[in-house]
Amino acid sequence: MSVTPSRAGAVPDSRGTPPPRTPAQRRRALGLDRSAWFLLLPALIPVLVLSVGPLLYGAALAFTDAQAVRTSDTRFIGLTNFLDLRFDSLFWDSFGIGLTWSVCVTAGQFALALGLALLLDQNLRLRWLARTLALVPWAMPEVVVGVMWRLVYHSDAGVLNKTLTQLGLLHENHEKIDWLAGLSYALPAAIVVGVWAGMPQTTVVLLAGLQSAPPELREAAQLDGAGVWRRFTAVTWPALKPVAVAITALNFIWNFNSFGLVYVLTRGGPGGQTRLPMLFAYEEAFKYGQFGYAAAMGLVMVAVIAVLLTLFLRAKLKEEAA
Amino acid sequence: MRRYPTDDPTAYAPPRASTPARIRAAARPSVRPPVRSPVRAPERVGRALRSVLLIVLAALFLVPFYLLVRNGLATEADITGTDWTFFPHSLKWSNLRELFDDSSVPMVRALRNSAVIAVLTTVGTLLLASLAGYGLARIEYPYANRVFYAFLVTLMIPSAVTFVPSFVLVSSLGWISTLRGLIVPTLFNAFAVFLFRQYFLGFPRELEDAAKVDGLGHWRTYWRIVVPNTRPVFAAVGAIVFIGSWNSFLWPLVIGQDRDAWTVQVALATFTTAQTVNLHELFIAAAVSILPLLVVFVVLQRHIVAGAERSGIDD
Repeated sequence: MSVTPSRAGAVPDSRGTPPPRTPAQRRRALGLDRSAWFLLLPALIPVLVLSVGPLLYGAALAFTDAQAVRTSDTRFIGLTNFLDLRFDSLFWDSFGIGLTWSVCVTAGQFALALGLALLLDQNLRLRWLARTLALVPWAMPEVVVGVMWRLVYHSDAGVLNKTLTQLGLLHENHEKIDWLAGLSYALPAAIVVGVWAGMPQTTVVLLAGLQSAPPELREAAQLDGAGVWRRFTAVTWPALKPVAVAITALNFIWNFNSFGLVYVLTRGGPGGQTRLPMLFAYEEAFKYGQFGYAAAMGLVMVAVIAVLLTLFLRAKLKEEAA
Repeated sequence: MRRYPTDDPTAYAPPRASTPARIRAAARPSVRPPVRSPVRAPERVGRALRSVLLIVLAALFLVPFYLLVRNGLATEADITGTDWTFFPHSLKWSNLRELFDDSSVPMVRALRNSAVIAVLTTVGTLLLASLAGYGLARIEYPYANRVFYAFLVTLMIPSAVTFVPSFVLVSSLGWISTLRGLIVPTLFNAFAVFLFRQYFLGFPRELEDAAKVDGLGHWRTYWRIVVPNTRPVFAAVGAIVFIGSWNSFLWPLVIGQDRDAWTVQVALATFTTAQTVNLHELFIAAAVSILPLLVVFVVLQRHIVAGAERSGIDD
């Protein structure tokens, strides 16, 4: 969802408190008001325990040979896990699949969502209907989405094969295509599902961004005879861009970390063709019990995402400055 | 037309809140100034095309759900047979009974687990996140903004780094396959904190100041003044958290190892890869598993919209 920290953080204090005079007031202004901390603690403690804690612990685990079933004590083994990762071709295959998946899904989500958001922005009468319908997939569990699409792709019972047959594109007597089991079909088929599942949320965020653009500007541009494309590039896009960049970055992270959908669709098969990095890490940790190795994998994934995102955001910022 | 809160986080950006909604509404022209030139024919065609396109898109999003129910209530032959039709020949409601009687799938138990987890997670998160959001929105710490940004950063921490260490921690507490293990680690929700903070920033300070004059501290102001007047945001965040908890998959899969601790999602996922799977049973199970979501969606959506309209505290 769109997170706009810069705007949210920069909200000025609307109370307009006069400069503090008495010591008590000054103390309060400095945040030494005890009940205030009392309010924040219930959230600060969980954030430390549940979020920062596992992060640090995970970083530590990555340098050990921690395993699910142990006969001896867990030892610190330095960089061994990371050195092993370097030559783990299965890991790098999975990494490449993860990148293909996230780039394709993020791009597909964005392109379709932008089109849909522009449509919805113009059609006031049907907007509520389409918005409600678009939100339904958003609320659906990944597992159910996976089950539904397995049905669509099913080789015998699948709607897709049946439709193709009825259209004459697939021969009745020919062998049916098993979309999720074909080496070359599985990943594209999964990507379609990823786009379908994530697009509604992106649409809603982009629509909110579109509505923050002043309609007067667009109307003025229209009066001045600007065409549809010109109106989009000159008025709509500049207003939409911050939201678009934010949601694209977030989508990319989410997609790279995607797990449930592909787990239900293919379990990473056939032959590892759809084994996303999270599926790989999950198998490593819970099938083979290699906790330390899986933790190292997580760290590498996060580092790569961080680098890619920094490059992306920096490029966008530079574009803005130019 | 007011955007309703669930689908639009920016709606929580502080509105011009000091002005009551009534005044804001009055200041806004109710009808758009008539700038548009007489509608030309091509434009009308374009508009019709757009509507058609929207309806097609909407259908595209609904068809899979229809198929889920259609196949859930069909016979096995109706699903895989060659004479497949879009509308089934007859509805087989006994499939439901068959699902709940099937001892190989702990569907009843899984539904109960999911319900308990989702309700407790929602209540706990609302409590923690609303307090944190209020603290971040209202109290002037020297570092309030920095704390807030730290919260936002935790939104970005991918589960890839945290799920293994969290599992090791939970298992060292002996919480595997327990409700505690399934609930407690998910209680911190940065997104919920974010939504609450944004909403409370727009809450009129006059009310709280009046409470302070009456001698109420932060704590009692929060419970007596803020909470009763901000029910819409509680409903909205509650709906989001409930849906998220009901749908969560990776954590329950990892922690709920015993059959008795399976949630609906885990049961369904296991179902899909079972050796012999009755397709109609799988689909009716999937359909049953989304019923509570539909209920929450329908019930709270009305609540949310109604609440959002009252959020200006007009009267």
